[in-house]
Amino acid sequence: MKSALEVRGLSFRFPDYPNLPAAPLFRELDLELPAGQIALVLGAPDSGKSTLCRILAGLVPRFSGGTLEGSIRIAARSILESRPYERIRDVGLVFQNPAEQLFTARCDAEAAFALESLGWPAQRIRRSVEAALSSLALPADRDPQTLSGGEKKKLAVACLLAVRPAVWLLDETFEELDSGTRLCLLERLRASGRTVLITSAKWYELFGGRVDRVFLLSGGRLREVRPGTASFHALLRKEGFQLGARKPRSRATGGAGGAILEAEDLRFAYPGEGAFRLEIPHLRIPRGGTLAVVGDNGSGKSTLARILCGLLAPAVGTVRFRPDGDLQVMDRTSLSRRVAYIFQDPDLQIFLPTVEEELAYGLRLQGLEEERIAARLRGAVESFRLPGLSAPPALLSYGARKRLQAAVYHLLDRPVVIFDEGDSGLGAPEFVRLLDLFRDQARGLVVITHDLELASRVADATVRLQKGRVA
Amino acid sequence: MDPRCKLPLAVLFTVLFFLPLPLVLLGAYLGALSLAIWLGLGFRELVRPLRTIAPLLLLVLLLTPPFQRGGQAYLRIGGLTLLSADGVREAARLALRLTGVTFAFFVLLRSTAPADLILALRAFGLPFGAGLVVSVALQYVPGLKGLFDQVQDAHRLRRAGNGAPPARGLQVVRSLLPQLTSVLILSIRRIPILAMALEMRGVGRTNRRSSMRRLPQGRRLVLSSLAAAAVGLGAVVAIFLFP
Ligand SMILES: Nc1ncnc2c1ncn2[C@@H]1O[C@H](COP(=O)(O)OP(=O)(O)OP(=O)(O)O)[C@@H](O)[C@H]1O
Ligand SMILES: [Mg+2]
Repeated sequence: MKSALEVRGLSFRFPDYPNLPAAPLFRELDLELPAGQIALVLGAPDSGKSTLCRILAGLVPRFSGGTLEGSIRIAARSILESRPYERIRDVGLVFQNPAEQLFTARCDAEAAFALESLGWPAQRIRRSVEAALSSLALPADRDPQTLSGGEKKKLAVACLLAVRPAVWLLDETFEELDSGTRLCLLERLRASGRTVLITSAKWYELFGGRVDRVFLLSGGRLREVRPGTASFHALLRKEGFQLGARKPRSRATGGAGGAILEAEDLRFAYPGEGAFRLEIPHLRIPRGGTLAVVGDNGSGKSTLARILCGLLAPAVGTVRFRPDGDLQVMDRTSLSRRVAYIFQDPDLQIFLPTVEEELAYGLRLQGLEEERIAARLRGAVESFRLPGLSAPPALLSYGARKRLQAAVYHLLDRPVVIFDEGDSGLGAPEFVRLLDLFRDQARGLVVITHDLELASRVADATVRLQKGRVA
Repeated sequence: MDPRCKLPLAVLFTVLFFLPLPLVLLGAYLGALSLAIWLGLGFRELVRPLRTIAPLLLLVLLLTPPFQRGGQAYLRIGGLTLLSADGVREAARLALRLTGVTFAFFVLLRSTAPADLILALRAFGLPFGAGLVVSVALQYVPGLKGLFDQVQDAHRLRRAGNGAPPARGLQVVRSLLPQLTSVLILSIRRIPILAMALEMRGVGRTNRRSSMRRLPQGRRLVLSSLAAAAVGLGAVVAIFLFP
């Protein structure tokens, strides 16, 4: 069979930066996919999944620098000798963070852009775009900026659906999608007959029987593994692509301590277009316990989180916080002071030149002495496995940036902590480890996730949202 | 109205506001524009641009008179004329100009989808490459605003209640500094990523680009052009009616 994608002897390393020497990322990596196959590449955080996708798309080292050896052929032509814009019918990529990929002001303009570049006639573009958007239930006239995290991801997929390139690269695209959308997307890919490479830090049961090949990315190489066997499942656990057997964890007296935060009769709607309404009659975050919030894309999970931490003001309703005795009604500033909200995108929450400044920022504002600060920073570097105090956060790997972001809020010591899709890009076991660092008798945790297995494992109670209501 | 007609009108009004015309006429133009905004877009849209330029307007109104001291003096302190007929006239003229030009472009941008504006620019012969740059810039700037909002939210959460007193005066500027730095770092990080995203969507190809949106042809274009010509002509004729 003709191969659609052929990689031979790929070696790559990024350029060195001060305080952050680069190690070789890939060593003699080989991969061959016949046309029409769906391949899954499982890789731990920082194993190089995104870089691999970008290399295959011809974006790295073109935009990043670094040294590359080996050959890559897509549709029988070398990727290294052509420019990405010449190959948009051959290869398409969905970025791990789709927000970085969207640059127009309307969803339909977004999906049409590549077709306009190809010079298609207007009528044909319109048909393609309408079909792509409606198959993922996306609105044509919304501003992509106002979409929820998962909806943005779906829009980036719709952009590929409109072009239908021969090879699809989906970089952790199945994260942050609800289970219905995941299944629908995978079935569509199978029906399309295209060659697809999916990367993931997590094994979803729906992959079983639906992907043709499974590879493990580690140590700079790809190794093919055979799903369905007992050794395969052992491997998934060992490498952290799946949660291990239920371990007794130090579960606090979940809920017995009463509520630490309680919301009553919350109502909220975004200004302007759109019919989204949030209506939560009652919500309770247990003291010393964990509340999981689950629900489809766009069901209002992040919106709820932004209200609870005081970033959004509800139209109606109150949020009450209990320091010791009675619940007190809180205004928005007081909420921000007590509720930490860990964004899904770590880059929005880390912004200083070094890890040291990043961690100490809040402590210095609190007026702590330098000696005590230094001691606490050392502790944080150790427990969050950070690469050292002088490293520049912007150049750390995704996993390390997420751990740094968590460490920042850990040092701030807020009584309530909300994790928005904290497991995305990290894998469940790694996230559980992070979460355990936050467990405390006096603290309430909220975990927003699409992983129901994870939710049932870590939470004392689960709330499911559906179209802005508690289901 | 068709963006191909709105564009020349906006340019015409900009020119008009810069001609040495009697104050009454400038006022009349501004009145007409405001009326158009009010009727077309609503009262709130009339206040919005005003609020943005309010600090600038205030500066103009306060600082112009002391430097234009001719004519009858209205207010003197010691031997110094602070407010005089010329000063008031000049201040009013500058303020009208500023507001007028702002309104003209506000109407244009507010009532036209960016994509249509680009199409109109292209209809007037803007080369494709430049059109693309303008279009990406027009759409990316609101994106940066979104980025800034998110960074601001992040900072608010992290700073809140660390015993730090609320910032005042110069402190506000200082406390903005880390936020601006993070936006800067983020946008610099995003530039290569944006370039990647653009190339993955075919920016750089040499073939002719097409467009999904089309500006209407035929009757609607003719009607639009007639309306625009009437408004433009009216505005110009008015100049000669006020000798
Ligand atoms: N700034 C905004 N303006 C208008 N509508 C918005 C805005 N932000 C979100 N929405 C809409 O509100 C709804 C809920 O969004 P939200 O981000 O809370 O969903 P979510 O449950 O977190 O979804 P996901 O799982 O995809 O992250 C969605 O329909 C979304 O499109
Ligand atoms: Mg969300």
